[in-house]
Amino acid sequence: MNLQVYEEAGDWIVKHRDGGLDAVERQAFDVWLRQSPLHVSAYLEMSSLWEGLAELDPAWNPDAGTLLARADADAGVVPLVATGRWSGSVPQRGGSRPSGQEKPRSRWAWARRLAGPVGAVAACLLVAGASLTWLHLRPEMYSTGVGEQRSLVLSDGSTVALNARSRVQVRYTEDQRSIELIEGQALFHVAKNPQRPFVVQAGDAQVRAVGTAFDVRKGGAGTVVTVVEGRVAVHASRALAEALDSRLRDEGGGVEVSGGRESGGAGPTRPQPPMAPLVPTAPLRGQQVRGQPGPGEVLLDPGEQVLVTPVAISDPRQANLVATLAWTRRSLVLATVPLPEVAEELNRYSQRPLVIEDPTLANFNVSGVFSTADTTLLLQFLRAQPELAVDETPSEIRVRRR
Amino acid sequence: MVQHDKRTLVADLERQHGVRLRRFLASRLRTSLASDVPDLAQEVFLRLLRISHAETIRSTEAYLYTVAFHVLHQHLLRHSTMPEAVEIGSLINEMESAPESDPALRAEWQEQLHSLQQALQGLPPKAQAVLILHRRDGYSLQEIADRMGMSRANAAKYLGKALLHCRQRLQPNLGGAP
Repeated sequence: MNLQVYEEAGDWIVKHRDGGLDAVERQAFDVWLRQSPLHVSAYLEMSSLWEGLAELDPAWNPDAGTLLARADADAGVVPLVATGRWSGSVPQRGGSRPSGQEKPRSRWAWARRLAGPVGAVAACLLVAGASLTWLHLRPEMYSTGVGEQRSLVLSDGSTVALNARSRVQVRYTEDQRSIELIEGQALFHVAKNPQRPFVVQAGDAQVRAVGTAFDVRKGGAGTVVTVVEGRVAVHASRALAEALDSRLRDEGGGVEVSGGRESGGAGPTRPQPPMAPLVPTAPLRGQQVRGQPGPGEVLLDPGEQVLVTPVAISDPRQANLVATLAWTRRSLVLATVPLPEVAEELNRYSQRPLVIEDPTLANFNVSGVFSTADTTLLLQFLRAQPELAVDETPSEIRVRRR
Repeated sequence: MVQHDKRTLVADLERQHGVRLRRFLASRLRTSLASDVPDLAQEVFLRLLRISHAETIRSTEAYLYTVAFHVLHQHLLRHSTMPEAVEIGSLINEMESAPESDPALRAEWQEQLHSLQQALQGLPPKAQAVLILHRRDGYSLQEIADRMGMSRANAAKYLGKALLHCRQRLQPNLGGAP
């Protein structure tokens, strides 16, 4: 098969994955793909390779610093045209090999099969099965380790600051910017685009914004959404909405709730399916939502915060923005925080987890400002408390009542 | 309307059943490779041509994957007369009953990843850095370009070339070479 075709296929893959194509490029890609079955085959094969690269064990290759140092030290110019340097076995231009003439089975068995387009499709689906994307961007995953923070700039100009031990999945389509906060905490600065809402899913909360800044923390006690600027709508997840919905029905609160639905165009006599839609966004003002313990959404103004648990959405409350965003300055501002929550926070930054053995310590509150870069200070603080005993082992730090 | 249903189904499939789908396909793949399946790329190509340019142009890649998925699935299950929309639904049902994991398949997959790793190690340092930082660590091309003191376009070129290199290394016997 023609090497140039693979080169072109590789370039198209890179374009697709790196922010997508503009209108002219989309047309060019469509034309390219329709030129030949070889293009189809090459694209699927390169796509499968691309997916496989993300599945390699991260430990198999040097860390980023080492890779960069080696690259910097490499003064030699890497040829940017396909030459023998890239492969000692470059096939002849236009050379082809009949499919079905397979070489003996090897470790990269399916890849060998790619000489025949059967394998190309099959391998693509094997490797890329999880990313059978509809709109051309596959989800991208970003994560941080213990004590590590990271800032991402997304293709639309929005930024995500990731706290330690956090993970987000970014999935952009043409009409929506979707992000899932799988664990941890992130601060989002959203580039304004009313045509393409920015939606963050975290635990039982769905946060929808057009252009704003907000912080989302997914913790053991639920998901906390805090608005820094602009306005966002927080929805219950479908599962939570259903739970709230059925609870309301059980409690006979249906009259009030169906009134809310009416404003969205659904009649009060409408049978309630298990997947009842949430109260629509438009007719509601934040004030109206407050105190209404129903399914639906809560609108948050700057400085407000809401807690979403598997069973309820709290009323909006004034947030302590300094404390909420302290993590972005590598500090931890604790204002009467129960010890188990302190442990949850601290464990983002410490290799040795803090384990709270005594359930009654849920009533033990901690206040103070601590550096997340050096967690020993917080441990000293705990050791100094007369009610607490701190036992250290090589693998963990246990705290119990004295 | 049919198109809309297909889209919805494909989107749901991807969102809700990604891992199951991959495992399911992995298990089906072995049998399909053992027997000689007709030329899938040719079939995908012909089906793509049947979809109008106007329809595919906004998301050609997505059409490519979807059609490839359909074609492979038809070959795998030999249900070539079933309409596409029904097929995806039935696939979801089958996946629900597919075994969660297969140690043999996992071992084979690990071997394949080792081959890919060997190909990676043969890359020149700059290309290797761009590829690994992008694919493993999730850095954007712009971030990598800034750090390595090159233009984003050049980083993209290194990435494309690195991919091509890996592909060639995995195909040592391609093109009739001994």
